[in-house]
Amino acid sequence: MKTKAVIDRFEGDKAVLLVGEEEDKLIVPRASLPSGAKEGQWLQVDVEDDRVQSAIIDKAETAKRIENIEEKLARLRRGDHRKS
Amino acid sequence: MTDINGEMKAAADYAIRSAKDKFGQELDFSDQSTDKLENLLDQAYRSFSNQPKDENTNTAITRTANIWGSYLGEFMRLKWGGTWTLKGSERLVSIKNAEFSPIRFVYKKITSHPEYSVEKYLMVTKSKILPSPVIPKQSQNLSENIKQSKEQSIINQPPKNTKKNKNLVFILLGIGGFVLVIIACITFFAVVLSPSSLQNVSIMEPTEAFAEIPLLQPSLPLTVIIPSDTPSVTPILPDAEPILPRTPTQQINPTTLAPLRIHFIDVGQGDAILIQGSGGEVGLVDGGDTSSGIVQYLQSLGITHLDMIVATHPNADHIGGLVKVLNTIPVDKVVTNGMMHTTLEYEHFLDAIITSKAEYVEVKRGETILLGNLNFDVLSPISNTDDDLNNGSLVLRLVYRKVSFLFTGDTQPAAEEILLASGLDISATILKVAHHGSRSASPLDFLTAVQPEVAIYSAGLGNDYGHPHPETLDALTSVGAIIYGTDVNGTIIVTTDGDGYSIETTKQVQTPTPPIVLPTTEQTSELFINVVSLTSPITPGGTSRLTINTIPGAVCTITVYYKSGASQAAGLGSQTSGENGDVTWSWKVGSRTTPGIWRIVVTTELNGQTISTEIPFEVR
Repeated sequence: MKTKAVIDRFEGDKAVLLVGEEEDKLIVPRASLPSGAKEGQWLQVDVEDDRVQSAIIDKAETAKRIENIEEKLARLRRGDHRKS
Repeated sequence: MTDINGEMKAAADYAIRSAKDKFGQELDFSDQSTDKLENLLDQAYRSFSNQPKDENTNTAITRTANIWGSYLGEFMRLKWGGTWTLKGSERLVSIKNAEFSPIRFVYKKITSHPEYSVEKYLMVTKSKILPSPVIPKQSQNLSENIKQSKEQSIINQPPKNTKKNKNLVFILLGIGGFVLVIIACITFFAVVLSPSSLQNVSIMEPTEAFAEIPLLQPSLPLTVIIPSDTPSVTPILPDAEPILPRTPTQQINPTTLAPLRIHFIDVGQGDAILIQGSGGEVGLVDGGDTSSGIVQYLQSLGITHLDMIVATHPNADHIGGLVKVLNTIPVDKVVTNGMMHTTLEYEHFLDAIITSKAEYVEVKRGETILLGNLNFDVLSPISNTDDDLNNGSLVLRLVYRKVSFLFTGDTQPAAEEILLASGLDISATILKVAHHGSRSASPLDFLTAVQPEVAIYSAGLGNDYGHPHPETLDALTSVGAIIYGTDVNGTIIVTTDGDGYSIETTKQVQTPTPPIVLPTTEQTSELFINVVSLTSPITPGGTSRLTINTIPGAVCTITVYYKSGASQAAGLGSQTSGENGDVTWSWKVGSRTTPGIWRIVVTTELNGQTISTEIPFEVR
């Protein structure tokens, strides 16, 4: 099944992925990810039975997430959340 | 006064004979013989690991440590000169201006620290007695800088000799994890060290030549009180590893302390540290991952409000649990390093701060985080622009009168080297070891500058990454730190009044180890695998648990095979069965798992013997 996943971190030669909205944690060989894969990048993965069959970097999704997060961070930095 | 050098030589000769007669190994004081010694110690460790804890076992372990330790000591004396000296009940090798306890090293290696290496021990020994052959010049300069800066800020530091004394008293009283790992080997005792084989070597009789090394009994309380101003025992010079004095000289009643309490909480694979100040202030540094149980821990202590949360960096194993905390308990302030992540978990973290209306603060080096009257100096990072989230971890130092703490998150060598070069005081009585004890952190020059008396790492038992790595444990040992880990000790609580400190742990240590078949004994019992329990059937998205029972000390692995192949879910690491032979795995069955009857393959390995079994597992 095709879904989205994000690289939470690398641990040695392994990568920790958080898969889908449920954020299922899968641990995959770093080498099984596309070259140039980085922490924080979103991927399109084909996951079957808790196993990543394929993964490609999803630049658009990554950019969208960054934009979203930056907006929230900006609110926090300005202290907007404490004003209302 | 007996001739101790003569005694020890005789003991080493006995070791040589034993090695040859019982194990077919030639210990001839050559450099190669240390490899053979290493093998013998590994064998002893495996043999002792699976035996009842009783007096006979303790005696056997002590004798074994004496025998092989004598050979190691004689090896050191032949190589570098020196003499044996008796200090209290302990036999030390005194070489030039340093003293070493090879017997204590062997004792630790065969009881609790199989990862210790004879080769490394000798390397460290060499570096202590010869003028710095191992340390690169640059590091030396750095160490000098640090040293100077330490002297300048001496007002914050316990006097050096006090620190040493504390170390001594601490070690003898506690040794938390290490002490509790006293395991036995009747077989080994009978075969190698039986009274009959000792008869013609009277020197090996403990009551005569070898006073017993004080063995701390498992029944001893886990609490250790370390008075810092203990009257000095004869000063002991830097050693390759800690030396145990014989008896406690002073014990503080914990009730007289006005304490700061710091809890290194067992949250599985992740970090979570609770700080309870003497004025009632409460702070939390990291919260483990989403399944950390941190909220329950706080609630069990009656904590209904947090003055502060610090997220050292935004990886899931540090902030996951903080989301639940923020959603459950009122929090005044959240402190971060300002580095962002893109995960949903991080977004949930931000959402939770927004909803909680907690003050949001970002800090970097040079700033101080206040919690009541506690000041946490931020030592790293310099900025929040690092590419690597771990490396950007907040590194905090807390000085509580004479006792100091260093909290390191998952910081990496790149940041650690920058910190070292800064000349800032990074010394700490208690170090929270960086990155779960991973080999990717804590280079030796950094640890040397920190010079911790106690090192605490946080890691999950049987975690997927092999944390803590033996290299890190070795390095910590070589700088003289007593090591605690949440995987083996459970939650570790440090209580301090600013003078001394005490350490409590929630778990008694179990030693994971395969017993080995000694050359002269018959084959031990057959390997077996019994399934104790399994969550099956299970629906996709649920958490499954499997418990098996096998011979204690067996290395057990499971692989869950679904339609498309082996599962990559977290939690399926390899584990060693504990004293009762049980091993439990817990993993999430992904929401995308194809329903059906699948199989779990369990493999156990012991002494080169391997067996496997398949267990049906239903997803529906």
